[in-house]
Amino acid sequence: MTARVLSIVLSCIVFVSHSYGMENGTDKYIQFPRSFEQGTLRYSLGISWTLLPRAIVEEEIRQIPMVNAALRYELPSHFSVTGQFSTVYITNVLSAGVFWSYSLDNVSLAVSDEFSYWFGVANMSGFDTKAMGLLNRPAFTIGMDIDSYKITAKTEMLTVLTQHTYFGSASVARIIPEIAGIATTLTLEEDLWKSTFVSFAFRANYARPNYQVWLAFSVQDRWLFFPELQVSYIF
Amino acid sequence: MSFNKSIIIVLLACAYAGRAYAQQTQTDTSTVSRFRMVIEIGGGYSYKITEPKQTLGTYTRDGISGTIRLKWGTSALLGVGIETGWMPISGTTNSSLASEFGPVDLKASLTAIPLLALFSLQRFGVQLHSGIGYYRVNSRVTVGGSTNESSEWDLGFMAALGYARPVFNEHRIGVELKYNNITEQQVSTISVHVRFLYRLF
Amino acid sequence: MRHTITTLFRLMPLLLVVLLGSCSMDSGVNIPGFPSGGRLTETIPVQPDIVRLLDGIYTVIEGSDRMGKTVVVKASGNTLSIFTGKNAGLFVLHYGRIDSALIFEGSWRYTQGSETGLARFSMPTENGGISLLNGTRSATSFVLRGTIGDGSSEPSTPITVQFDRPLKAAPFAIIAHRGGGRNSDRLAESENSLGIIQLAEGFGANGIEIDVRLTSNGVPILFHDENFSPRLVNGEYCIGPVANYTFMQIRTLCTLKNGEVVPTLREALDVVLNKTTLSLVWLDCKSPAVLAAAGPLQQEYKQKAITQGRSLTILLGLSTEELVTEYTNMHFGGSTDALCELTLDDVRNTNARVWAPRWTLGPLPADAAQMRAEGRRTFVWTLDQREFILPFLQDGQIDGILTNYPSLVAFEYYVFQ
Repeated sequence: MTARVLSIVLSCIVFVSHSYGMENGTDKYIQFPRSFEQGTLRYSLGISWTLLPRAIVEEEIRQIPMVNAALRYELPSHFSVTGQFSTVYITNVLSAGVFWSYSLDNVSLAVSDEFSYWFGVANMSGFDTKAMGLLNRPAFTIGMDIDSYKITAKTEMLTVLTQHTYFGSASVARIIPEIAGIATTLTLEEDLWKSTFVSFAFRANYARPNYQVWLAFSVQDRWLFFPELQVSYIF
Repeated sequence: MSFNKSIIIVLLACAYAGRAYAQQTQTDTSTVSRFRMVIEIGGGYSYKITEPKQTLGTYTRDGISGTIRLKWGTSALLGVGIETGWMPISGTTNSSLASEFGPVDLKASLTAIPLLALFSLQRFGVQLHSGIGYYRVNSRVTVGGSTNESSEWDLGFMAALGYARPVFNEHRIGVELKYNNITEQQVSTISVHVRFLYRLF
Repeated sequence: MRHTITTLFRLMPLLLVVLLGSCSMDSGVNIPGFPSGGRLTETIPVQPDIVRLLDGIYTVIEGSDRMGKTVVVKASGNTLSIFTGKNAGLFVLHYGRIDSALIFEGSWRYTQGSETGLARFSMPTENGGISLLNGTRSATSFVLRGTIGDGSSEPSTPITVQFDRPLKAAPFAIIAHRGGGRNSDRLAESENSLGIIQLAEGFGANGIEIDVRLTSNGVPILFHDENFSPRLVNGEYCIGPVANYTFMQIRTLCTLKNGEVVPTLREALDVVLNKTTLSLVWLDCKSPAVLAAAGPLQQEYKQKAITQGRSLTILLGLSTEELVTEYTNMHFGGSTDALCELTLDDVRNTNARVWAPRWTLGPLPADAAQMRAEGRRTFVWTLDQREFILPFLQDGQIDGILTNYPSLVAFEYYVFQ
């Protein structure tokens, strides 16, 4: 039973959703790095699916869908604030950040920075464990508007700022900022069918084991590849 | 053929198909504007390109494989669908394998049934397909007169480049070069298929 | 430009699947060796009992950036090991003598990473060599001088360590997971193999945990997973549940990841008894049916150990309620050495000698003290990080730790005051 529970937890994929909602006439996009009407709030809901490295999960389940919600609020001077929440119950991530974009014809660029607070709780057979941490993710984004398609590439650096683990009556704190990996996301936002706007994204994470697999308490000190698929409905 | 070479060939082929599509999009968007559904049946020759880590007798790595696809598309950039079929992977026979148990008869075979989510793109009769999902991998072994059949679901993917041309009404026939990878088992095959495509609506 | 990007995007699903393929690949760690056998080819053998006199806590005089301030030196079998707290480093050295100087050569590795290299040490006459070869511990401190290198390059970074104090003699169990370590740590031998069991002591362990399953014809074998997979075996026809295959099919069709045979429990216990000085074996029984096969072997090897004058405890692991139920219904239930991972009541009901809670429950000193009061021991599993190991050592009530990194636990245990 514990192995089964652990397998589910190990598959808790909490990389950030890359879909933001936006209404712009008949066009909708959110990840695309172009500013939109000031004072407008956009949001989206979606799921993600990540494949975890065998080096960490071994025989356990390697993938499981995760629910993602995201929003973007447009500020003056091409600034936006972003917020995201991802959960699979045992592992949760809450993020907030700032996004500045610049558009030139159909090409758009953006720089952004985001802080993420993640927390996980496991109170089940053999576990009396909690963990939480703080991440920072500076990123650079480039997008291209082609016909009714919005294509976006975003590269971010994952930095671990703090991490706390509680097991029973004991706890361990790590406050050592370190680069934990890089991630590149390729996103398509399009009208799939009759004004049903969705985003498809593929994210390649190349990182040390991090919050996605916190309950495995892996000590693997090497960068591993975590591919991720994301699908979101843009409201 | 090595894994890397296979990938490069498929990537180049895909890039060609993508470019063809991109060019066509500018002049013929009307052809992609309406919903359509296609069923496709293919069959042909398959060859396992992954080298075995050990060989225990006469090793065969080819056979007749088949593919069934149901796919639908709209004006969207990517069409989607599902794919299944049949894949022989390998077989081994040895009537007198030296072992710690003395000489033993050995007969073993490995086959797979894919069940993949399909992404498709087609223009100028050229089709690019990629798929991701699971393979039902089946092993049948007879060692020393004792037979065992065992199966499991394994993650994997597929990429294929094909060409088809109309023959009459909604029917098309064509050929396809296909690469299958059962990631969890570290098995890759390459296939050449003859295909029959029927547009349902 | 736009067409290029569009085209690239269309390749996204393909890129995904290609990358999916790549993520299953896992390069190994090549532990280097000295060309042509190194200087050891010029040496004459030294008795292991003599080298055991070197056991102790050593202060790092030179090279603390690589080794940390303190290291643990411990001999086992025909090797001398050095455990560093920094980077969870492990040195495994073979030895011999030239005149009155001892020569040690081998390799080092950061056990939780990929870094590895060659190492060479010596103990000259003036640093205790003479005393050691006479079978006595010198009044003056032992000093090991040497060099280490990266990869296969000739060692050139100087290292000097000086004896500080002897090791604690307390009977603490340092238990190596899966016979010595996991495949994911890219060791020279496969997990649950006969080879890894013989390496376990060099890693710092004095006990091992091994996983026991039954073949379809009832042979107990060492194998961790329920299903065959390329993670553990070579052999494309071995797929699906291990329990589907006969012993002959398994031994004919597949080998472990590094080419070894899938061992039987009997073969493993033979190796433990005849090729190691390990004092504890924890049999992680993967199904209730294993108990009927493992129980008689446990008794057989217990008797063989007594005959050889060996101190060897073999524990039947009870990790599920099904195993507990099966065990209590067995004719030997409650009368043989067992380890229970469940509640204290389960431990008492099965009369298990050892309670083994998961570390993620945190230190439970009151419960562990109660177990001691009842004449039982407490082993915690599976602890792999220094920060998590220390609270358990600090509470002082546990009797052993199961780990994937015995060298790390050994360092922390011996150094901990």
